Amino acid sequence: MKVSPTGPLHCLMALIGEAPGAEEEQIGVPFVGASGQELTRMLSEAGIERKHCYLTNLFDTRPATLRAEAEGPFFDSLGNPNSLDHLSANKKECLSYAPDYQLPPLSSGKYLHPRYVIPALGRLQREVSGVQTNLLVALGGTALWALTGHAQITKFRGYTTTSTLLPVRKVLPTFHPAAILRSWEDRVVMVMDLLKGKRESAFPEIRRPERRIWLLPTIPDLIDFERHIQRGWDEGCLLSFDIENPRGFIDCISLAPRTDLSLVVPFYDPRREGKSYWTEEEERFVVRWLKRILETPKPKVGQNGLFDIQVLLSEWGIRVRGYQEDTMIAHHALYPELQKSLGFMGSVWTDEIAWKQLNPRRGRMKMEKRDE
Amino acid sequence: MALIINTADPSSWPTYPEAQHHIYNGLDSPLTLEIMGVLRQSLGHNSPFRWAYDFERRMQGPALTIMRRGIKVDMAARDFAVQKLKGRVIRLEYVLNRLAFVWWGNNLNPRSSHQLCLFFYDHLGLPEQFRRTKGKRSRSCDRDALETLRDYIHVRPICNAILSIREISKEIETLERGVDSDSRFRFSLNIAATETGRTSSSKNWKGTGGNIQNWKDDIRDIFVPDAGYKLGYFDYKQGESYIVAYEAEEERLIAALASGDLHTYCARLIWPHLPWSGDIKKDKTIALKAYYRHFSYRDISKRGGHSRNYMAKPWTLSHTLKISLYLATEFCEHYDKAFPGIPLWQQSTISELQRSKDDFGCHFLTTALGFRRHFFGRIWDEATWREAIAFRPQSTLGQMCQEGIYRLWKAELSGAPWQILANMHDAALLQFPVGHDDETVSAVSTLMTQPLQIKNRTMTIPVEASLGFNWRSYKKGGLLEEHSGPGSTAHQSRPTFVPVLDRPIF
Repeated sequence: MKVSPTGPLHCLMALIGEAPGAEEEQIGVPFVGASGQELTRMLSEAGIERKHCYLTNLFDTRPATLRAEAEGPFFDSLGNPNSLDHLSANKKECLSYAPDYQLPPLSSGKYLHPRYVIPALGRLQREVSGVQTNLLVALGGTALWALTGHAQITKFRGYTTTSTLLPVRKVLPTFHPAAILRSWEDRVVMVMDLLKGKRESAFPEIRRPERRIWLLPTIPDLIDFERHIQRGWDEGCLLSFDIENPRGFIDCISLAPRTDLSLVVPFYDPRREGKSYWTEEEERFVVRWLKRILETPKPKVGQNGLFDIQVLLSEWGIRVRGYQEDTMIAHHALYPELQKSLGFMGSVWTDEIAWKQLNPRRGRMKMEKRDE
Repeated sequence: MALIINTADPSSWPTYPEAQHHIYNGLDSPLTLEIMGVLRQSLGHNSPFRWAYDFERRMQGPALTIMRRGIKVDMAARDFAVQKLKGRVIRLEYVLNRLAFVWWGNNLNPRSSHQLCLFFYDHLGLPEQFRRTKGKRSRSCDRDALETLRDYIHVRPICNAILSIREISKEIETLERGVDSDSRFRFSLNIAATETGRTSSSKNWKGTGGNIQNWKDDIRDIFVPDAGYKLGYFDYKQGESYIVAYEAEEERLIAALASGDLHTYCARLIWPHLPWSGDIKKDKTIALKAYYRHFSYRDISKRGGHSRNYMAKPWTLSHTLKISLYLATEFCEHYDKAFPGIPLWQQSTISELQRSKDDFGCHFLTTALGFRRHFFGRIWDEATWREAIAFRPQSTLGQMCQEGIYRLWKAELSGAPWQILANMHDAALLQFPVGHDDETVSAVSTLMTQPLQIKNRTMTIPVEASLGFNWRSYKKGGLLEEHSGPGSTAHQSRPTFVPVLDRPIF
């Protein structure tokens, strides 16, 4: 039995899930089972009334039923009828069925069979285009995949992004309520996401904070930027700093005297001879400049600064002074149960893009060497 | 001239090879500033979280000192330990292969997950255990899977052998790769790491080192002091039991702690029908008699009591202590009867958790020191209850120990002769100049001893000192011996041999 969407076409937000479960199939309404009831409670905690939301799924039929309908009497259902395994295939099978199949995998090596997913995406696209709302909330990895092409819900949740299925529509990914029933600790995070969703539903566009980043600086730029740092300190602001050393040495360091301004000082440049951004003399000057800034006993802040301080001390002999605040420690003191990564905090406390995904190679960079 | 981009307009972003990495780095620092601005609003001077924040911030100093200093490793002892562990792996692999050969006529590679899945699930037909990684569900033979499979008695020796091989192999790897070129073991001491506020340790930023808190006693002899120094290991004696006793206002447990031999005293209360004399020293002989197989009454009192304090059920006790369910049930009944305040305290903690709600409707508990933890798990779930019950003792002790470390560090900066080397959950490891045993023990014990107010009563946990030229306990063949000089609360407790057949018959 097909499960029809529910909710007003002119709504606060459209909530899009994966596929109906047994109870949904029986009643014909999405999100009425245990996970649906939990969703209603979470919406209510976030100050959202369910009746103001449009609710639908990528698939309007349970996966096993969908496959049984396609295969007829020869279908031998194995395992959980709600599992997407019933609809998945490897890339070769997908291409043999639809040679122009270009959809990304749902997870490593796991594709949704075009026989099922192409009609489902078409239906979802038609259905949601008719819904007048400022925000689409992707509940779980599959809905996120359908709307944006990304499937890693833990990495993208809480960050608004633009839909690829429905261009210009704003998407806010969060967990699926069924996942919350399995991992109850994530419930508070989902409620936070829904609170963010309520804020985001007030306007259609994605509003990004404007930040100026100074890239590829020269020595005069550093001197120029120091004025901003000094002004920040004069106004009682903290100086934020962060190093990157995925290659085993400090390859860049950023300094931010304000939330809308930062400077990136690179040290590694694969395009240049010796792979060093600066000449030897310049680099000596830059390290001395950084030493002067960081050793000044003016207030500073960092995320897990102890790591950066240790690396700076070991690599360049810089003894950071005035290190007053630390976001990781502050977040741990406030919420010891929640994650303390900057990416997570950014998703909850800011309106920034999923910037941690800008660097997919992070943590996996080869231990490359610069010429000494 | 620098290239200035506006992050709100991705079309202005450059495309040079490292551009994304630089933008990523360039966003990290202003976002840190922005997040700090948001968090600061909840960390005002009257905030209930301020104490924890200030406490953890000031721990950065000692942590940095400990991380940079590291502990000296006796490389000869390290090589010997590696050889010994490799020998153990070879023996275990031999046993594993003999067992595997009986089942499927082939050897079994404990490091090949694919082969183990074939063996357990396809050949032996055991129920498949799955693990989900990156959204992909696949058959697994990881630790959790093997621990589940261990319930099938016919494969238990195989699972045990595989788990042991993996554990020892990890130890070998840490021993071989964890030591820096200057023969020091440097680890990362993580302050804001656990939900209880205790520290944790892991590999350092260079990728060497590892968890210092998990070293087994028989390998600890690789850790030695620097030349001219001696090691001192100062731990809070039965720290968690003290906190449980005062939190639960359980007078009998408080008396047991004051007796000098907690576990014998507890054994007396748990099994009152035994012919106790009333003299704790004589009673120890009775407490050391066999209760079940190799476990004496005292052993069970020690291990079972600790678990029962945190609401372990008979089934869990039977599983962890490897005793029958009947004995575990009997022990729980006796323990609850001996210390009736503990189940009441457990119930009151659960009730407090369920009733507590902050401005956002989240449930929380606060320790005597002022550390508040939210509990986001289901508050009607037993797993959450157990976490809540264990939270106060574990967190309080961990933070008391950190406070002790901080005081030692401050004293070290002011010229005290010792050097702090490591922070355990309930202990501090340091080195001090040879020949200064008594004054070091006295000064360190004084600094680490902190009176704590719990339920309108003041409690002090005694600090026990062990000194020596390597970190392994003297009782286990090492050189770290309990200090019996002034300022020490050490006592000797050497287990007697208990014959296997000398056990009660039920």
